[in-house]
Amino acid sequence: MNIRAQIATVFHLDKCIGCHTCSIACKNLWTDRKGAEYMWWNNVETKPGTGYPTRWEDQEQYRGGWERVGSQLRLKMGGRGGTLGKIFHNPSLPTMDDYYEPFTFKYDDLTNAPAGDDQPTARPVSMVSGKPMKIEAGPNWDDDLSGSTVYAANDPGVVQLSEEEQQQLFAIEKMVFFHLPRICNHCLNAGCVAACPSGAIYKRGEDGIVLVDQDKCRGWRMCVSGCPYKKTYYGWSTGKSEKCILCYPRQEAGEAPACFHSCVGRIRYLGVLLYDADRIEATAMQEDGELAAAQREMILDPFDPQVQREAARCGIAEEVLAAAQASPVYKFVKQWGIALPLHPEFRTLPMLFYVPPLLPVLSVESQGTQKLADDFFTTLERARLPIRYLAGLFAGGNEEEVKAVYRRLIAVRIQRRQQGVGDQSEAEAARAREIAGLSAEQVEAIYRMTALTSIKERIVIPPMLRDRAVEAGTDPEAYRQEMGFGRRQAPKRRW
Amino acid sequence: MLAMVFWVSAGASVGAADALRGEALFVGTASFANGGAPCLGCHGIAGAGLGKAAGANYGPDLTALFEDFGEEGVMAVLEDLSFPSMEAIYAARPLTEQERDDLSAFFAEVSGQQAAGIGGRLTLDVAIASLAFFALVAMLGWRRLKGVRQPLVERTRKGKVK
Repeated sequence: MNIRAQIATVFHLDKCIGCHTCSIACKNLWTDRKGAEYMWWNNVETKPGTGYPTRWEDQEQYRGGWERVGSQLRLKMGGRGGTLGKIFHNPSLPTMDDYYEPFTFKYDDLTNAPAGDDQPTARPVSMVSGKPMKIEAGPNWDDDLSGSTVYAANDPGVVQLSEEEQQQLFAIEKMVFFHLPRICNHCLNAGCVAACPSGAIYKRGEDGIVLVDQDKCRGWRMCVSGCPYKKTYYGWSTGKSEKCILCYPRQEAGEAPACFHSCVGRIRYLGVLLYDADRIEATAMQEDGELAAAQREMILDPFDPQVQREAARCGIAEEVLAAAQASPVYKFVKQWGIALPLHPEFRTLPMLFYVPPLLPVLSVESQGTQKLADDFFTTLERARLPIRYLAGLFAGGNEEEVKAVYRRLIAVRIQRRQQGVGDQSEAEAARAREIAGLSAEQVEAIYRMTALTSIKERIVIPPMLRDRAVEAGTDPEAYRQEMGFGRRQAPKRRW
Repeated sequence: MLAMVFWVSAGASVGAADALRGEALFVGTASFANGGAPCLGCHGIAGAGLGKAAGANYGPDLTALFEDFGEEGVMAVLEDLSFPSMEAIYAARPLTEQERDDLSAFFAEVSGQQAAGIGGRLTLDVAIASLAFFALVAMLGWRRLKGVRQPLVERTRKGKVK
């Protein structure tokens, strides 16, 4: 076994209110500068919708992620030869318009306008060229189903649904959407790392955070194609690619990443997982529908004495192991099995998991009367979001995988109503738990972790032990005086 | 050519000026005794079809050298080669008397010959090669992603105006 630690995350979609506080926190901290205006390392999408960049899930267009060729795993954008052939001209890059052209307004015209009969106006200007422009798209153009006839109707997941299911999705009383916050997944089998011709992208050994070395990056932009989630961005001012860094400078100081820290709905959980790096390829080679389960399989139990011995042998510190045992992500993904990876069929083994949104599963006709465990499954079938759609999003099309999660979430809901509202009998709750395969204590633990946690329980940052890494090579005192964050040399191009 | 040069160097008696040997020296198949660079490095002789593609164009073309300078003039020039850019090469590596005679004979032979036209054919070749190159680039870029959002919006709007 080759055990490694990975900082992984869970987003609880039932709790996300789509307020974009995370996006703004990240923007203000990292991408509010020339060349990075269009970047949103964290963004929140409305589903159904096309997202940012438009239709990023459609790998037939963008050629991101991996595919199986015989018994081999190959980047969808092509092998080494193909990449070399396209090195000066990568044909599958998103255009600026697919993200959106960043804009601002000439506010000076409002304050400096001469007195007159008309209201002064502030014209929109492009933040790239500075010229007046017509705003045709934004980072959240299809937010809350706006323009849904164009955007939501063309969501790649929706397009795969039957006519009937689509009708159901857009029927006026049943209109439904949920929010999907996205950051870099810090994948185990990252497509961007594999695609980079300069070897500038690397995965940190101690915590699995994927970073772009700004000194090595040559701006080939193959990572932009290679990432199926379109989470590396080309900074047009420095001529180098940038991506979410999971706020590692904050984490090294024991702080939660900015988007986690600022999350209003407290939907974000962070913790460390142990996994076996020898099994990456075998796991990524599974069938589409098996991938979510195979990924769960790879994650190791930090309470297992054998795993602990192996982890110590692989150089995982005691403190990190302790953090792995306290990891909320381990609970969500492995113990309770209610969090699934986004689009596992891209085969990058993403380490950001989502608790699918339960949504109002009570049908409208029933006016909120008891939908009990007796017709547990009809409840699922009557869910406003087709299970098939969710399975396409979180389980590579495997509906059973999603249903299993929903059974557990519904069991939690029934037990809580039995205890809190009292409109369900204890027998109902017991039957629901039995169907879901959870104990009463587990249900209670899920409820507490979902609703009643402190930030220290939600976000368990492992000690990064930078001190040990520093002491090995340099005098800590000297290091403290020289330490900083950023780059020593300006990029050749410009800032 | 090499064989010819070999035969020439073996057959021609040393002393007599020999245009063939001069050509070999000019082109560089025979080297100068003192190690100077062959003339063709910088000068072409269009009349003899040397430096045809204007490749040897650092110095002027020497087709009409003999006509312009005459024998004495040529010999005088070859003796000290006192041009700024040539001095650096030949000041320490002068040509031997024999070499000067041979070269002079060679220049005498080519003088008065019509320069073969090189423009038309070369232009054509370059044009064809460029076209082929651009066609290849265009072909590689044919399936380039032209954008996703804009076409999507246009398609959907068109679909509505049924």
